[in-house]
Amino acid sequence: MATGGTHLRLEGVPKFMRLGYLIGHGENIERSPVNSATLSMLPWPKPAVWPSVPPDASSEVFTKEKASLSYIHCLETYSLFVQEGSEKDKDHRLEEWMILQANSRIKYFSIHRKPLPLEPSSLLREANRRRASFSAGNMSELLESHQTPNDGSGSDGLSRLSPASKIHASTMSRTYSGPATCDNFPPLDRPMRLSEIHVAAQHALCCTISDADLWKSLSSIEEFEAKYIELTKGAADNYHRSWWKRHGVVLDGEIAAICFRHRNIDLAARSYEKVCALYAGEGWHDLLAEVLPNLAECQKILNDQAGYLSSCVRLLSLDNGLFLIKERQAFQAEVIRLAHSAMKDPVPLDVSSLITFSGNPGPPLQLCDGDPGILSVIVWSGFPNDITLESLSLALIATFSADEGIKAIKCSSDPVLRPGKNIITLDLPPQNPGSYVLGVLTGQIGNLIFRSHSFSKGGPPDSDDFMNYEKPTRPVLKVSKPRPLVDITAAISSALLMNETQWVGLVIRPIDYLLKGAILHIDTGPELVVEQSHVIEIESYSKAMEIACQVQGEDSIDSPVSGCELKQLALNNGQVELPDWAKDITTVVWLPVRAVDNRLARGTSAVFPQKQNVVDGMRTIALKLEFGVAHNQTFERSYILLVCISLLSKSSETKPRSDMANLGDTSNSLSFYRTIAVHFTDPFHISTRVADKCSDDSLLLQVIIHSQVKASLKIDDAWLELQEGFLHMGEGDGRPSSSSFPLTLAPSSRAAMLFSIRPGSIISRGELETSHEDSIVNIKYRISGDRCIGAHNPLREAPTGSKEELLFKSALALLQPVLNPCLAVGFLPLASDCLRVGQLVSMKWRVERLKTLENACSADQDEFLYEVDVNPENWMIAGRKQGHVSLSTKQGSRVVITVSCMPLISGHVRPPQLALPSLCDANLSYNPAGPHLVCILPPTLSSSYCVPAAH
Amino acid sequence: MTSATACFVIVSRNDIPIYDAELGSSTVRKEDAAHQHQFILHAALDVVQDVAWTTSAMFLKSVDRFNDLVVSVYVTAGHILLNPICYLLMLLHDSRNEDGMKSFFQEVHELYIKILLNPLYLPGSRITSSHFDTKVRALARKYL
Repeated sequence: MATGGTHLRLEGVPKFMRLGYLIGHGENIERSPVNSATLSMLPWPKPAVWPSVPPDASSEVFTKEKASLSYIHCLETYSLFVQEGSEKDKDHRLEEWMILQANSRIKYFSIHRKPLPLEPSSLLREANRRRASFSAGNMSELLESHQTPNDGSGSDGLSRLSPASKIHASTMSRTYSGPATCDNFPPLDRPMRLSEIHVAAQHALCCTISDADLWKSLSSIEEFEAKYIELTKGAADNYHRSWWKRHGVVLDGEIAAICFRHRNIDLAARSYEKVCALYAGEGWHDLLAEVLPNLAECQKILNDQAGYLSSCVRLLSLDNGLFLIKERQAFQAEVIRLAHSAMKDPVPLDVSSLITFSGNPGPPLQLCDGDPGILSVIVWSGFPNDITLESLSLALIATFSADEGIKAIKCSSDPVLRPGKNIITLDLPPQNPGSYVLGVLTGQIGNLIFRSHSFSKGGPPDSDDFMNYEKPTRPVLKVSKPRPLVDITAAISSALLMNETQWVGLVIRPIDYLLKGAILHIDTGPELVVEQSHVIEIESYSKAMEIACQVQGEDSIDSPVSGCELKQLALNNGQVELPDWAKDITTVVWLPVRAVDNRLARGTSAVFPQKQNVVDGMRTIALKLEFGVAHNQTFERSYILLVCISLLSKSSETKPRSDMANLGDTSNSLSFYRTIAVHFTDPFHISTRVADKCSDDSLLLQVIIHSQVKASLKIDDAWLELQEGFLHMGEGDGRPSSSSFPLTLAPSSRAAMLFSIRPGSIISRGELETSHEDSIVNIKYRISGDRCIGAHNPLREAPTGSKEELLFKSALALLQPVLNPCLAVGFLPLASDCLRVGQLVSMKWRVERLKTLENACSADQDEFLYEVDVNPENWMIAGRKQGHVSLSTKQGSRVVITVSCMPLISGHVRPPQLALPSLCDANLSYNPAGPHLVCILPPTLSSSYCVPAAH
Repeated sequence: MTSATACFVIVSRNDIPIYDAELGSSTVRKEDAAHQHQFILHAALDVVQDVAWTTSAMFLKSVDRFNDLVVSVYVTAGHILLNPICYLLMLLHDSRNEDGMKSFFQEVHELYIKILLNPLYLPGSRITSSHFDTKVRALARKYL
């Protein structure tokens, strides 16, 4: 294998080509980089004397000249064609251009490339120079004076074809052309024409070459090409065998060029594909740009539409600098023409290096769960002109879960991609929570379905293959997990007044979300009424709180509503539309409601405070807030408005009840349920105790008033309506003994009033009074509170002034005092000190009548039922367990009841107890009053079973 | 003496050219020669892959020839296919100054290492830094 300068081909091939060039087969040698590289560095042969034209070769010269004339003429035409200012007829130029295409390096898609040289220096000049060096005159210098200065360079084969020099050369050539006769044969001092050089060389070689095969190969163009292919194939095979794949593949490309010329397109296409694959795979795009148009042309001729489309797209994907804009436009025109032509099936194509995309710089689009959005994506188009797409969609890949799959998002309108940067907006349907990265871009141009996997980093499309494998890592979309977007809480933390119209404040707080066009649905439960006659108010939360604080500081009685900027809203079918300014600030919606409770408040005894069952007084109000883009978000909340009637002031603090807090937690992603208690309560809780019991049977009844609300209460008047069996002392009208009205009661504090009453018979003065089962305390009061804090002055239809008095009623159950028991039951001492198990014992109780029952109405008061209550495991009753005894109704009469029983176990056990079921416990007095124990010994040992000791 | 013609290419792994520049003082139509220069350099990769296994030298003075132009190669540490960041500096030139060429390769090597140290540069991707290009051209003027 050859090494060094001619690596590109085995040494024999370029020499063979050089010989072919010398004898005039140059036009048939492809002016490819490889041929140019090998031939342009191979020096001309240096014979001692450059051969002259044999005298009898005029016909050969004529034939050669005719052939070369057409070639040179074509080159000349080419130069004129590329000159803009040419005056030649366009049609004529075009015709000549068509001829030229077959011979020169003009490629398809109107790609203009200057031909590469196949010779180290001009053959014409070299031959004439060498001949002239033997002549007297210096004709070569004369000839060179017509050449351009560039001709001195090593690659002057190029410059020879420059327009100016070509014109001179061809002109000279024509001047000396003409019928070749013996007279015209060039003398030594006349420069040889190219055809003459070819003929001279051919004759010289004929004399030199002894190998018949070689001479045969050079004898005709067809034979020359056959040998050329044979040698090139051999060289390519050798290179492939030695793993010089680049050399081998390049020579495959040369064979492809010959095949193409011989219309063996199929073979040419396959060879070109190999060359293109090598250059594309290794990223040598400059070289790829040389070969790819050839492949495209082959595919076009073969009607391989998919391949041709792919090649056109690849041509467009190459660096902009490799092709002129006109050429790139021609590529695009072909793509569009094919895409809209009647292709049988849609052609899928990867355009990753032509169209790239990236998310917008900056933070990713943040969306809440369930929200649609608009995603903006940058798409870089490598097309030279605008291109209209039938559709464009982009896949989003979820980064959190592989199961999520890929979701394609379509562009709503048919986009037109301009060259370079385009910003495309995509309508984003609601997505699952998580972060998403851009996946694949797909689109359609006619029947061409393209896709691009290429993610650009915000720059123009990068054709480097390495970059195409780069995966996007930066998310473009983040959908947050379901979270509360808005929170609705009660604005107040303490109880409101029962049975009065009160403002319930609902604090609507958007949590990083705009409540645009929000609608609040209000649905109250039973025993709770929204006062339709009043409007609903809305105000800024911060402003409301600020005013509330001021009001609290000033301790003003007036309602704070007057000083606050309020907007009034109308309630339509239980719906309230929130104003636009409330979309991003925390607001308070004031709802006039009235909790209804028809039961009368009941007071309790101070000794045994009665606990209120809070569940009885629940009120519910369901709130639903619709908001978000296209009202897709919903917030639902059920309020439990807790009616708290008789809790003690300490326990009446408003606290969210944990047991009700999760009634319907997280039932779906868009709704949130939580329960918050707002108390409705009476203003006061009443408890009573007997402060003193006087000797004259009169009682001093203390009525304690507990304030239940966080508001200042001013008691103007109070009076007590007594139940039957009790009377006010003296001439009292039910007012307290000590009148200190008006009495101001601070929030959550207590006050007391004393009433002097006595047990007594009804209607002592003969007046007709309404009989009550319970006593009733009436309290006239006024309230001054803030609706932001709790209970406040109730709303009235027509306010009659600030001196609005309210009436509170509470029932009290007064119990008659128990004076003396009627019967005394005494447990008589046991006869023996020690009881033993199994020993029968008599239990005795003495029953004595202490006084005659006042209310006794039954006839059989002298006889009553007794019963012995005993634990059957401890005692065995011998005899009757119960019976009737008679006792005289006379005071002091007594009777003894004896019951025989036997203890069953030893230890301290409770003795049997005597009960008198027919009599009320209140009339009985026991002695001992409480349970007591007796000691039972184990049974005595029996000596008859004892065995004396042996000694 | 400045080289009239030179074409310089940095080839990364997988034989992808990541930087190429036409250097030299010649006013020859570069657009014509560029493809041919690249063609020669690309074909020379075959030779380099053979030669790299036979020598431990990093500087291969003459791998291939084209007319009076010579392909010189500087192979960085490790062989091409073994080291993921191994790369070739290939120069097609007509300079006779061997020391200058060595210095050129070494300094370009240093420049490339600086590029590699740039956290924003993805190893193996195309070098688009204009600073790098300017420095390489300055080095070519200095040494070639």
